[in-house]
Amino acid sequence: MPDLLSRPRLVDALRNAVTEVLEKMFFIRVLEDPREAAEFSTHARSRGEPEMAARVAFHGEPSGSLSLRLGCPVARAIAADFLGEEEPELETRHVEEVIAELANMVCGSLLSSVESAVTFRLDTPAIVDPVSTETHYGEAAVHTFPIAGSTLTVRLWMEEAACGSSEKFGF
Amino acid sequence: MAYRILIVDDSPAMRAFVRRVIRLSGFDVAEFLEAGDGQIALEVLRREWVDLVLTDINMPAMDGEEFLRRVASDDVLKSIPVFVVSTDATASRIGQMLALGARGYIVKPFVAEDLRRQLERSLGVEHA
Repeated sequence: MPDLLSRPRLVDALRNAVTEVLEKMFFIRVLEDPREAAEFSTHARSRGEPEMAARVAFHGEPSGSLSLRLGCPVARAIAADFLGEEEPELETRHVEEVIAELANMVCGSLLSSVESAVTFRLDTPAIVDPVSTETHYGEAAVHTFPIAGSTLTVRLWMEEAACGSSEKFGF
Repeated sequence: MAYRILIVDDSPAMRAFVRRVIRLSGFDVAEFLEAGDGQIALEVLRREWVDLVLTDINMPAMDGEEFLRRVASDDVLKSIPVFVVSTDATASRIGQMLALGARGYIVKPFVAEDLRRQLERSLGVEHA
């Protein structure tokens, strides 16, 4: 397996892609403190905070998909900033469109950085059941980011994962 | 001069973002037109004149590559500057789209300044 697709390399690429997209397009500074991420993750889940998720499939060498999952309140705040609108004015579909585009940009940025030998193609991203993003089979990389008092979890699956086992490499 | 700009992207959110960025950058925009894919964009171009086009690549029905190919092969449409706005930052893709006639290539994510600079340079205008 090429070093470019090793799990540590993929996790680094994932982190860089998310950080760059959030900072440039959403003006969100990601502070990478693993302890903070774990703390916010616990709080969000324990509060029973509603979540939303988006998934985008990609085709190339390799093919796979990327998903992101986050709390609805922070998704709404992100969408409002992106669109330049006030949160109360946003409909659910507006928030979903922004989160889908976030998944699209993260995936595209990630794939560009790992330099696939074949031009990749992205499917139209889709909003999915957040629970469906917890599938670990074929998972190549996962990372949780603390943002705006909540968390954003991004997962990457590939048809030929760098690790044959279901080992999770997280921060 | 007030520009008529066509934004081609299957993401309504991205079309809204690009509109907002262009307005905030100071461009004098007379009107934004929008299309969700290359096929619709061609239909728009056949009935409306625009000063420039911003297009994504990955779109249903007709992707940005085929759209650019059709524009470049049309005697009337080929004079309209087309900029690609895409997440694909690979050298092969950028080279491919520029070879097809794209006037510029803007990689997502981008800061507003990058977009404005590319458009200004290609259109030969300056804004304060």
